[in-house]
Amino acid sequence: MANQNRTFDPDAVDEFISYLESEAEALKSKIIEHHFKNDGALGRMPAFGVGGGSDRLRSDYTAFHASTWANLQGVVAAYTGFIETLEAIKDSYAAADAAGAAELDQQM
Amino acid sequence: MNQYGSEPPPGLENERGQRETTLLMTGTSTSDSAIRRDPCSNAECPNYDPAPMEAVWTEFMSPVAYGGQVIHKGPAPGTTQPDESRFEEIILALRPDGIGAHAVETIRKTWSAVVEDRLESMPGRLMSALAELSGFWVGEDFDRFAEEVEQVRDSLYDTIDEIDTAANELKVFEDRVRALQGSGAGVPFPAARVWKASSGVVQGPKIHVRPVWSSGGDCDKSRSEGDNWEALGLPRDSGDELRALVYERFGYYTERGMDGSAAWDQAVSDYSAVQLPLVGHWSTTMSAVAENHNLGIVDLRDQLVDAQEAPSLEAGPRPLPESAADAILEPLPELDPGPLPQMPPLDGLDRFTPPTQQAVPEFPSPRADWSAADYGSTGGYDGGNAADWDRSAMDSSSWNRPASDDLSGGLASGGLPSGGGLASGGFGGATGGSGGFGPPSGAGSQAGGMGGAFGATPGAAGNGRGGATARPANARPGSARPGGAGAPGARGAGSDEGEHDRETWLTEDSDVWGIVAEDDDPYA
Repeated sequence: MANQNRTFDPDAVDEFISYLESEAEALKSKIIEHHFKNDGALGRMPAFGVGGGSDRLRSDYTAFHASTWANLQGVVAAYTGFIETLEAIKDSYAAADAAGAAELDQQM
Repeated sequence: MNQYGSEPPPGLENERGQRETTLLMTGTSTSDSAIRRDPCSNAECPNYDPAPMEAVWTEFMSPVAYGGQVIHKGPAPGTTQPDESRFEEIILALRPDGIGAHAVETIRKTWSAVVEDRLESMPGRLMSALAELSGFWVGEDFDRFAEEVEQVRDSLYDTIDEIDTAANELKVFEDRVRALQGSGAGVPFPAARVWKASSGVVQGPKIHVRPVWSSGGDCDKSRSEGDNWEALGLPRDSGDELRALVYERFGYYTERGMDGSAAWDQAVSDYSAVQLPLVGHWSTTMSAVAENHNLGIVDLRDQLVDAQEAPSLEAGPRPLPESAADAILEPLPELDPGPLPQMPPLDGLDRFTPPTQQAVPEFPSPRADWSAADYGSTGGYDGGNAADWDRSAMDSSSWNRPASDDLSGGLASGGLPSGGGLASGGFGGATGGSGGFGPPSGAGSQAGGMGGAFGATPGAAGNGRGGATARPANARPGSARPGGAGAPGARGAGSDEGEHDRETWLTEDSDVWGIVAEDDDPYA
């Protein structure tokens, strides 16, 4: 890589960002869009029946479904937030580098 | 901190609203919102309301374990059942088109596929990528970032576990439902409830029949006598058979010198005792079979409720890493409830078939010297259950007349004054060609073949003696109607006895045979 002395390599961070982007995208398209939405099976209430114990089962399933949806959305949100965080850190390192370089210039 | 798990899932509210609709439409439940049929117009009829079995069966059949399920009607011996077209109509209402997409198996397998194809590998990949990154980023910033990544990894593991657990729980539920609903081998359909309004047997049987989802607000009871017998699982011509026996008995007395009126009264009186076992036969067997059958369905439903109460579906809210706080989340889409079970269209009895005909207990031969007491004390058929609902159950020895030493005397006493045919096999003719007068099947031990079997093999018109069992052809005389002379008003006008508690049907007067006129049908 560019500079072995550095403790922050923006190229490696970019690679990690790409990875997060593809994972988040896969979660959204392959799971959320494909299964939870667009008449996917995870958008349908299972035919638990009527009467009897079906109400409680439906209620439990609904809660399970909602929580799992939220948890998967949470992963997407986390990945998206990571990307933003990494971009910000990249910027701050770049700014620090620029400042350092300017200082070096002045010394020269 | 967590903005996902703490909100009430919007699906729940919708689901509740949906449920109320379901109850209204199916008449299922519990509540007064259910559709109820009117009770029978006869206040004594116990078939008050068919709604309970309708609700039970709706609950039993409404869960869909797997797609493409073909539902067959299971065997229900001894009960009135819908034919195929009616059965399918009811199934289609309870399982509307499109419900297969909501089969538990379909959805459960999708959850599993999401884990196997996507989620399972995510935590590992995430940690590999982080390990890679750690080679190029060192410091406190990285450590803080790595902690957040690990938090997401843990959340992924938890989510995977929760989905796996839920899928397993659903699989268990699915398997139980599949087994309870017959595993494709047939599901039992509720037996029509049957009630005999009067205690008389021959005289206007007045059978109330009420299958589930029957049309009209009342029991079906305006059918012919033959239909009524059939509803009891007895041969259509049972009444004729019994009448013929009395006629012949009457002839037996007159040939011994009794005057017509006394002979008739005695003949009627004799057989009046015999009818009691037949009533017992019906009430203990026929109604018990239907009742047991339906109780079996209630039990299946109860097991289904147990299955519905078993699954443990849980997913806890996950704390999100700090970095994620600003992320935009999609709102939870509403779960598609799918097509709801509908109330099946109501229909009459046309597409129901009566129970398979059963052998009827033997009645004592009209040409034997016997007294009513001999038969009144036999106790009749001692009940039975669905498993016994077969021919052999009817051959109870309790129907066999105690060996009598008078039989041969009776037969030897001379020809029939009525001029009735003695030819063996002639009995069928005596009963208007109804045929099916089977020979007694259980009377082998009795001298001279006591007791005529009563319709053991109905429907063999013209067959004279039926032929259920081998029996010497000469053991029982054929007979024709008693001669005209003595028959006292035997076919008088319809009785008005109606459904009042007549303990016997032959004791009172000669018009008990009366054919009930449609117009003043005492059914009520």
